[in-house]
Amino acid sequence: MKRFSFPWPASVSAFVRLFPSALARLLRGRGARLALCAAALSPLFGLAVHSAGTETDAALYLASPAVGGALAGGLAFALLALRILGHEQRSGMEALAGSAVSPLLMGCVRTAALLLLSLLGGMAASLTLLLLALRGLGSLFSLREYACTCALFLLPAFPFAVLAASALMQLTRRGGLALFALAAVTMASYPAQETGAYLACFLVPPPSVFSSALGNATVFRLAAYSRFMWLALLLGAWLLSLMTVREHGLGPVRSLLLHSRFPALPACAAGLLLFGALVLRAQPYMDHAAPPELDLSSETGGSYAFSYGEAEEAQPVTLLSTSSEVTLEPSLGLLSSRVVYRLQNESGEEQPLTLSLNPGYTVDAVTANGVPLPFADLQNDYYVGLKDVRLTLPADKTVELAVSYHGSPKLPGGTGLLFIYQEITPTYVALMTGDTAPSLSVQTAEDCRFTARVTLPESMALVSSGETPKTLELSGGLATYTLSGAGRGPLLFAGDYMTLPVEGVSFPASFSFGRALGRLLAEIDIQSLLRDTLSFCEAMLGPLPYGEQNPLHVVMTSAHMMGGGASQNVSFMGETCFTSANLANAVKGATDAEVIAHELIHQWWGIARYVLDEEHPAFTAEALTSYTTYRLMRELHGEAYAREHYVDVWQEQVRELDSSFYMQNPQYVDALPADAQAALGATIFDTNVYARAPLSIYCAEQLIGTQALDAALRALFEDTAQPFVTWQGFLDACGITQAQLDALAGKGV
Amino acid sequence: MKIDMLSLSMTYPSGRMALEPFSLSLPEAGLVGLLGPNGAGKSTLIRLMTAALTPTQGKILVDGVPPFQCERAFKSNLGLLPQRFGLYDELTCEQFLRYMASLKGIVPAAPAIERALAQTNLLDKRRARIRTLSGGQRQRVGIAQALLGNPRLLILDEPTVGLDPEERVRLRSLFAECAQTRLVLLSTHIIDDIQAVCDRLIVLSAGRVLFSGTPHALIAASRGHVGLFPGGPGDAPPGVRVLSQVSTAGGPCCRCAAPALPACVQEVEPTLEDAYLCLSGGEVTLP
Repeated sequence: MKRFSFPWPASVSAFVRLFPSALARLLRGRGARLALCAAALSPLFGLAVHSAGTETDAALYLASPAVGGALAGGLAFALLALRILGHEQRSGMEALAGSAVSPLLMGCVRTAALLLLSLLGGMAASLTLLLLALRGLGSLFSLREYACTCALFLLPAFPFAVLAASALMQLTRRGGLALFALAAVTMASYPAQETGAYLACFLVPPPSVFSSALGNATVFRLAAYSRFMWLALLLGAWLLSLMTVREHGLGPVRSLLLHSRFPALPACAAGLLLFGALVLRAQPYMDHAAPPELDLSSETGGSYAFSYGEAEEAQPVTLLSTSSEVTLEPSLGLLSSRVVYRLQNESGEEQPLTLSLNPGYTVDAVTANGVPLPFADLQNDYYVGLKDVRLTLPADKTVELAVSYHGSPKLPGGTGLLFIYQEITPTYVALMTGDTAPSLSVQTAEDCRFTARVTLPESMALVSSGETPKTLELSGGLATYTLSGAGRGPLLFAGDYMTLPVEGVSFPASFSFGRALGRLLAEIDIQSLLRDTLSFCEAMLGPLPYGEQNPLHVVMTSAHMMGGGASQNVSFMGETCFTSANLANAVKGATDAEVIAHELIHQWWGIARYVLDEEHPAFTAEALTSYTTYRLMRELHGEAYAREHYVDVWQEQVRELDSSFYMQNPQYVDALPADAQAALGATIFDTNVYARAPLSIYCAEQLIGTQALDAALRALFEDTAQPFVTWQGFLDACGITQAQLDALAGKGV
Repeated sequence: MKIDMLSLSMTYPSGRMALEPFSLSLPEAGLVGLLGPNGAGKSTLIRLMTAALTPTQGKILVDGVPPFQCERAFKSNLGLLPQRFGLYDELTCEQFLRYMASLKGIVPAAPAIERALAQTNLLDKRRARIRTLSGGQRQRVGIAQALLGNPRLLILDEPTVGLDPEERVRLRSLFAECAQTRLVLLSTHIIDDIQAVCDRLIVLSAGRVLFSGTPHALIAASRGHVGLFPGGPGDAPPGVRVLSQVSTAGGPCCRCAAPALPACVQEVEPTLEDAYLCLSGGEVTLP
């Protein structure tokens, strides 16, 4: 059979000849003009419906218009494409055009004209977005952030929608069916930020919560990867659908076979689809952890937050100190580190150990006292964003275990884009202890200390746990710091930070925040809130053990990190806690002021005093912190306010969980898909840890009175002889029994 | 452009045989009429000839080569007016013809557009939006786009539908003029259009080619089978089929056809219409 080669030059010249006519014809139509108008206005739709949240100004004035504009504008052009292509069939124009040129060529020309039109629409939308962002953000506006938002969130949605609609129409030749399929795919891939499937959103990737002050490079990287993958997949799908364009009266399959006589077409289609699939498979930003398993018999809903793999501590091995050298390449998002663990092995035998680190890191080498040690990377990503590396510690009494690793931290796949704890970008760095000194399954000596050398761009201000960093070297635009302190490793943040002291407490404290938000924070007097919280807790529970060399640091982190946390002498909370709209809104209940207070109070419950009870796993630092936050809000805003926003909320949450269908009928839980079970587990955890447990403490206050409870809490805080605060310890300090609390709960208190 | 159809047949995927196997050749120049009732297979044959359909049996050769093998060259020499076609209502006549000229690769386009507008009497409507045109004017726009670029093969499926008699006559003359230098295939069920201008005729009925030849030959074959009797259809003698009713000076009469005319029926010279009806009714059978 004679093979026909694709007559490139003639087809290209025919395309060049036909394209201007096709574009001119489109532009003369009413539909195209409507679509262009819709595109230009689409960012206003996003602003109106807050399609990417309102937690920060950047979320409201940059991300929301971009995401909403992408959805609305993309939909407008998808409908235009369906209308244009459907009209060609319905009107009979297809027969006329088909008598003059190949339907294959005509399909290319029409789609190319629609694509160019969609890009024009995208540019119109970008202009509207620019005006909105300039007006809304004011001094917070950044040209780089705007350009990345346009290029990654807004603009690509328009041609992607055209490609998808054209492909469906070419394949099905039925406008209604194509529209239904397009709607179904778009809804299934709605950019829900709670899901880990950030690559599933073909029209617009989930934006997380945009940071106004610390940059969004991490989110842009994810979005760029998504766009790259979808470009390949959509082009491949469109090429495949082009090959099914009906010709010579043949159906879709025979037309596809006919068009395969141009080998470049199927080769390109298959190549693009395969490439897109490989890009999907190789995505580097999220780990591959499965959702946690649900266990209804557990107070916390099962293997959820407190499961750190199956590694048990090697009891005879103690970590004495660590020293690490950490080098960061923020432009590439990379970290390389060498950590030396000084260990004492009292057993005289080899000991199996597990090193737990973020799945984004690759261990390059492990040595023990200078001798290379074999190791096995299990690649068993599990729910809290960790994986295990197994090795065997030699029998030597003292071992210097050196671990070299490099990579980029991955997000936990199960939590989506709402909890980005680690970032390495040109404008912002956030690293947890597990990044600077991964955990080993050994005991940690009480006086364990870390030293670290960290190299960063000189332009980034560093805030870290432990003692105040010392600048070691400034060279070539880079700064090297030495960090030291108690514990296994440092927590560190770096960016365009400004640091101010917090007055009014007996220990040194400072507040570091994104410089761009300085004026806004001054307007809402954030320092007063911090001072009030710290002084209240100091009066209620006692001072924190901080001094000149290791002051308390309160750090604003990127908005990508919802909520906050505390570790050593650092309390950190996301940028969303500090917006004027949230902090000044008394009707809303100053929710984010409470988050700030909550995270600060963790310095007492969780850092200064550990709270852990294996028999009552729901009794954690969260319970005592939540209760203390309630007490602070009672002090600041009054009894009625505190009751409405805390006690009533806790009671309602507990009531809702206990009366829910699956708690009443646990026999049906197994029928739920894994994701739903994980969600149910999360609800059980949240309710028991953040509502039922603090409610129990509130009940204790009702039993014994506020003064007696405060005395009990202070006693628990000061009793450093006990390694952990336990639930029984709390009951004993209060002088009550569980039965007395249950009786009170039974009365509906 | 010489067209040969060799054992050509078309059965649709539903199982309906739209064209039974036949072989036929069309000359390089001339005006060929394609005649048949609705559903005869005329449009199917046209779609096969323009490579819009793939035959289930047999082949079509254009200058010795199947059209889909020389698609670009074939389409650049083809002017087609399908029976059902659409236009871009938002464009003016001139803009639409310019668009079609660009599809056909006609360079320079302006003279070709001017000529087509003149040939179809649309010069005064060149700047009118297509959505404002009447049915007949839209039909003329369709014809104009088929005429663009002087194609060597012109296929017109029901071109005079919706046209007033004056336009029909004018366009018939145009088609006849075009046929002097190229092949024009005129598909219609209107006998007058065929009779006036076609020098060759193909008759289709129920997917079968009943006749291929000159109109005169068809008429000649019908001689002796067409007659006239007085009265209405109820007065028809046995064994005859009434073709039409006519009014004469002597009163109402009926034209009729029969394989053998009875003595009471006066034989008359058949018209092309009579010949076609005899052929399709089976009174005349041709090898």
